[in-house]
Amino acid sequence: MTQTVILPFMAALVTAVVSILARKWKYRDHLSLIGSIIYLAAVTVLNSKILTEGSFTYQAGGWPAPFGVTFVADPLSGLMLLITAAVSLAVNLYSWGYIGERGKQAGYYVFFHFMVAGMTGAFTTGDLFNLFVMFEIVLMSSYAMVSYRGTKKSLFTTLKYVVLNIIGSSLMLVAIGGLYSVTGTLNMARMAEILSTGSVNMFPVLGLASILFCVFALKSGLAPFHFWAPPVYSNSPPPAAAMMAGLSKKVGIYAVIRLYLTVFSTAKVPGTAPFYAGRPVNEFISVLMFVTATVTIFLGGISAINRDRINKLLSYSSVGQVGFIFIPMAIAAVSGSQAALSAALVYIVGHALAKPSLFMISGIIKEITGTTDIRSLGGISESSFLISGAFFISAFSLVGVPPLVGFFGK
Amino acid sequence: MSLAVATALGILFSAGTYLVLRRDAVRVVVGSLILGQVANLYLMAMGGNEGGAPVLSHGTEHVSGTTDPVPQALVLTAIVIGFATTAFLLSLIYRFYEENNKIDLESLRGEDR
Repeated sequence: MTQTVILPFMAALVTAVVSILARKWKYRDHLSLIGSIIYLAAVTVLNSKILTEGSFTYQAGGWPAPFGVTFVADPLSGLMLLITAAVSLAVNLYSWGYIGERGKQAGYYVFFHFMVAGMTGAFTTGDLFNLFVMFEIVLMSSYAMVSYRGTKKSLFTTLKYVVLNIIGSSLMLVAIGGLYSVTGTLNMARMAEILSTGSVNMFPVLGLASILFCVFALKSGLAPFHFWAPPVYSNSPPPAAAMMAGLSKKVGIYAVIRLYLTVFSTAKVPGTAPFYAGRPVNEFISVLMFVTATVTIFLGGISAINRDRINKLLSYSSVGQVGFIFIPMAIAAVSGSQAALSAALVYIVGHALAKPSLFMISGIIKEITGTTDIRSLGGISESSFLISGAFFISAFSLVGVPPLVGFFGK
Repeated sequence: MSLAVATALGILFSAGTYLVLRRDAVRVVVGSLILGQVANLYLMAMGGNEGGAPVLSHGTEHVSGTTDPVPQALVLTAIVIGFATTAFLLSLIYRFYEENNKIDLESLRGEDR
């Protein structure tokens, strides 16, 4: 039963389509919750299969490996799917109370599940072009989730976000097409094999890999492409911000891990190139990662300091956190260290759990007090103990206080 | 031939970039659409236009002299995605105009903060 690989994807896709078809949009929230639970079950089934049998693949339509579209299930994608399932279920429960009639009518839940489907596809695909398609699905649903309220601010933010991502997607298409023309395949495993033999011209591969890295930096909000993230997060509804900051950003990070730590890891820079002659491509990429990650941490941290609104503070801190995820990845890319990679993964889990809960709590705080201004929020721990307690725990996990998950990442 | 295609691609890419950097929101939208389409054109050009149509008759294992069908398949997919994004972007710009009554992006600087 290799079809198990696409089980979570199908679960999310079917839920999204059924939500569109549902004649009575009043029941979309019920459908959505059922869908999220089925999705969690599908992910659990897939994960138990990965644990007992190891990694396995599924060929869409039964076309053999380098030609057909491959779906891969390995421990990395299993982990990412598990985070997605857990966080999207929690966000779904929150949306139940937050989104209301207007959001249901505007199809919030439809886009929610399309987003989950896109992320699932991106986490399980073994095909470079399929990754592009899944990215587009995630982006398209995130555009709708940011803008559905139709306020002035959210429309302006979405306009900038869409234009920026169209440019990013065009570059991604150019890079993927170029890689196909150089290596003659889109299958990630086959591409790694071809690159390790060194039989192809490595100069274009190096350039295209760098373009692709810029695109993933844009999607995951790494400096100097981080500027879109804060306005998008602070102007979208808190559950949408939670989904984007917690999960869809991780798709970009996952793509970097998948491509630069496996596919390009065997490739070598050609001997006639300056500076990096004969060295692995990853050494070059890891310098890029390290520098951009450090700049991201500083920029995110410094611009978060004097924000007076809680959702803005969280948006800017979210920028910095991506930098913290990329630093161990840079170390893993240059040394191949498994410990560094696991640190990055634990940090991803920690951030994916803490940041959505903080965004959702900021939404509740706004509902209760009517403001997000930190200065006027003093004394909230007395009026709503549970909310401030939850905020405290999530923030401490982000800071890295034991025994919370952020500590193990740090 | 390939030089002409490369020149055309370069001109289109720069036209797209130029339009994206304008103040007028509609021009920005048109520019981003051009950028999206040039990427498709680039893929088509890269796939080559020599050889026959990549249609295999039943039972034949390999027909020599056909164009590589993969870039064409990729471009088909990318066109569909681009179409959806265009539709969304145009309706977004309409709502944007309704809400703000202007399309000058420069005068809206900082409005989303």
